[in-house]
Order: sequence, then structure tokens, then C-alpha cells
Amino acid sequence: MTWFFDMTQAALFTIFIQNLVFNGGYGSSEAIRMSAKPKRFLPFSIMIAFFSTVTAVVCRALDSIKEISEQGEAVHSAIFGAVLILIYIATALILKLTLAPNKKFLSTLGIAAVNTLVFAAPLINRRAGYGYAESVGTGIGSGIAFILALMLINAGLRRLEANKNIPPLFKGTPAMFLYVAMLSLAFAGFAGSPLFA
Amino acid sequence: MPDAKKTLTPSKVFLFGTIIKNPILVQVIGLCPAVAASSSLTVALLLSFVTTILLIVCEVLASALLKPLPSWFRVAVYMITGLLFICPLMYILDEAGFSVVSDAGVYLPLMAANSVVALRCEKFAVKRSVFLSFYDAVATGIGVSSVLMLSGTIRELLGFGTVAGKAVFESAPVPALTMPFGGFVVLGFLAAFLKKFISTFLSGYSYDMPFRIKRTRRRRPGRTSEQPVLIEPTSSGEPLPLGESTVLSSPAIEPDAASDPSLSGGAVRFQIHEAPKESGKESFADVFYNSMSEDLFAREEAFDDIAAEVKTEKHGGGQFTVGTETSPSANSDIVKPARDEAERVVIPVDLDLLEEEEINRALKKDSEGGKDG
Repeated sequence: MTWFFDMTQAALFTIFIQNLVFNGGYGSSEAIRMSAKPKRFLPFSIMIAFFSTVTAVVCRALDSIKEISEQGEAVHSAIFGAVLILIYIATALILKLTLAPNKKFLSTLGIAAVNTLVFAAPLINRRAGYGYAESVGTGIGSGIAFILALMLINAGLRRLEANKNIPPLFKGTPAMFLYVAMLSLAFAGFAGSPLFA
Repeated sequence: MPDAKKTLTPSKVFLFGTIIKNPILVQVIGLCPAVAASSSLTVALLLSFVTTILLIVCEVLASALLKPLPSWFRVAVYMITGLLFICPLMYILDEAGFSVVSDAGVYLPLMAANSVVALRCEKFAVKRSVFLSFYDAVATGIGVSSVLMLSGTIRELLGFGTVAGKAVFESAPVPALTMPFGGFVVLGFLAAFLKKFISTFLSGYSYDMPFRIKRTRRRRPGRTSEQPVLIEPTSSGEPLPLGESTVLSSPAIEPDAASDPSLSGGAVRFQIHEAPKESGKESFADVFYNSMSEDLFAREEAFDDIAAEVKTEKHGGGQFTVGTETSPSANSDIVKPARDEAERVVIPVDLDLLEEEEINRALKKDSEGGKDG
């Protein structure tokens, strides 16, 4: 039961307090670009959750080996990156052999796997000293945090699109950046970060 | 139709990579280091150096050697290349006692998975020569670096009250700018500044930087538009320019067998048909992917999310003129209803060719404007 609570706590922390997209900027390009395509929210977020969970757990297992855990940041980054690549290639090959997905599907899978949000998960877990339960929680939380970010950005984009009062210079991408900044500020508030000295 | 790819010169590639299609401010890629890590000039310098080197190595590699490999596998190769460069660099800098590695935190190794590298390689390098890919990598690197360093300087100055570690203000005016929130704010203002710069000094390339919700309609096989569309072919029978030739070669459009004898001036009546659905059993992955509709690498960028609109306007007496215009984020494959006297049809086109055609058109407009001036 402790395992379950540790996992849930880590997941909730990743989603609301340490929202990786808004508070860390991880995967923010993918989140902003994907937010304009509502039909892709769920599949893409599932892929993100899958890759971050599996990578985080495998990296946690490797980090329990004494020879690896004693290494510095550079070696850890290389090992975790290699794990992510192997998981991605293995997943792509399994899907290719069993479900025969089209080229576009595999390209999307590549974007979901090779991005800063997924690669950051094991690195953050290691720095935070998370165990297996928290690693799983962070992985699942990353996917949910990503879909939450997509929904919030999408809702803002709809309003920005309809708003005729935006100055011409700020229409489009500049307004979108400022809107995401407001969301990031809100999540910084959840994390209790001080804004002014 | 002229081969648009032949007209892509290094100077155009350079201008587009650095300013017109700035990767961060216009294409919205590679944001992670820009919003989170570049809160100081020294970190921004390190990340800029790493990004530029990675872009050059990966784009040249992709253009020279990786073309035969499938796209999904190339993505892994880019990340491996990034790790092979970044991890030894981290080790060397760490051993040498440079604090910038710890200042950059997890963001330095994350550069190996930076979307800007994979996207430029997939969108540009694998389709072009090594020479042009090198130029694109340098231009994109400069584009990314300039934004990272500008953002880093502004955020360090206002967030910490220093520039490159040297005190400028006695206390930090706005410490919140060092958070990702500050990164997004600075990027928003830089994007607006870039927009103003382009509209003032490079007016031929001015655009709206659209960011719109994609609304698509499911296609139904065999469905036709309610009204026919009239397209005037060239007298020589040669393919029409971009938009029109795409129309004529599109499988979605077939000449109407019952041509209208009332038409004059060589106009031909076309009936718009929805493209028939491919036969054969769809795999689970195809069904799953159908909700995602487009190739992200090829079509994802908002700037490139353009479809040619062939607009036919009725003037009377059965005469029709065909004009081509481009519209950002237009929904492809959708037959729009008649709007007043005009009928608009949105047709899917080769976006890469369209992009280059636009560049040529803009350059032409720019040079004509220069002559006038």
C-alpha cells in the first residue's frame, strides 16, 4: 500500500506542483505545437507517458547497480540516453512487426520518445533520489501533466484566436508565448516559488 | 513548373534560418533551453555552442549518409550523435572545474533530445544537398543562439542584476524572470520585436505568425461538392503555376464529363470529388493514427501549415479568372461553400514546393519594391 501512495504522491506532484511543461519548460515545444491539434492530445500523451514510465523504471533499475550509481552526471546522462534510444527502437520494431503501422505513426512515435520531457524524467528522478514507485509515478504524471498542458494551452489558443483586441504586433505567436507565460506563472505559484525578492 | 528546389540559394537559406523562420520565435521549436535554462548569459553561450555544433554535425550527417534510412530510425541516430558529443563535453568541462555545467543542470544533456535538431534534419537536410544543409545548420544555429543569448542577457540582467556574472544593479529588479515564466515573457516580446523588424525592414517576407486551432473534417468517400469549380487552363497546355497545376494533377479533381457549352474563353468545368479511400484492411495503427492525420515532421510547423487556395471569381459572360493565394492554417481537403460571388476551394499541395515558391515570390516582390524605391 505504501508503494501505491508513493507512486500517487509522485504523480500528483509531477502534475500539479512540478508541472514539467510549465515549471520546467520540458517538452514545451511539443506541447505548444500539439495544442493546436486536439485530436492528437490523447494518443500523443499516452506515448509520452509510456516512454517516460518505462525509461524511468529501467534507469532506476540500472542506477541501483553500484558501479553505475557511483558515476558522475556525464556517464549517467549517456547511459539514460542510451536506454531511452533502445526502448524507442525496441518499441518501434515491435509495433512495426506486429501492427504494421504507417510511416507517419512511426514519425510521431519518434517525436513522443525523443524529446526533453521523456529524457528529463530519469534525470530528475535520480536527482530527487526517487525509488521505483516514485519513478513510475513521475512517468505516469509526465503524461498527465502533458495532456493538462495541452488542454490549457488549447483553451487559451481558442480565446486568443477569437480575440480581436490583441494589438497586431502581438497577434499569433507572441500572444501565445505570453499566454503560456501566465500559465507558467500560475504553476510557479502552486510550487510556492517567490516572484519578487 | 520551374524546379523550385534549384532556386534555393545559400543566401535565402541563411536569411530564412536566422530571421524569417527563426526556429524559436517563429517555428516554436527548441523552447526548452530557451525558456528554462538560458537564465544567464554564460549558460546561454554554452547551450548556443552545443546547439550549433549539433546542428552542423547532424544536418551534414543526415544529408550525406542518413537518407537511405527510415525516418523513425534517423531520429534515434540524431540523439545518439547528440549524446556522443555532449556527454564527453560535460565530462571534460566538469573535470576542468567549470561551474557552467552545474549551472546548466539537466538541460545540457537534454540538448541531445532537442527538437530543433531532429526537425531541421528531417525537414531540410534529408531532402537537400550537404552544402545547403551545412548552410541551414549554421543559419539555424545563429538563429537559435541569438535568441538564447538575448534572452539570457535580459533575464540575467533583470533577474539577477548581473551580466555574465558581473554586477550591474545592486539588487535584482525582477527575480521571477529567471523562472520559465520569465523565459516565456521574454520570448513573447522578442517574437513581437522580430515581427516588427520583418515588417519594417523585410516587408516582402511579412506574415502573421499564425497559431490557430486545426479544425478538420472527416472525408467521406465519393462525396462531391455542391457546386462545380471553374478553372481556366493555360492556352499552351503547359502546366499552370503552382496552385493551379496542383489542382489539375490532384486526384481529388476530375473534369466534369458534361461540360457546359455556355462557357467561353477556353474555361473548363471541373467537379470536385473527395479522394476515394484507399482499399484494403486498415491496421490498428492506421486506425489509431487516423486521429492524428498528418506527418508531424513534414507538416507540423504552424508557419508551413499552408494550403494553396484556388480562388475563382465570376465576372460575367461566362468568363472566369483564376487567382492563387496562400492562406496559413487553411484546412486542406475541405470544399468550402460558395461565398458571395466567389467560390473557394482548398487543395492540398506539396508544402515544400509551396514554401520555396513563396520565398521566390517574396524575393521578387522585394526586388520590385527596391526598384520602385
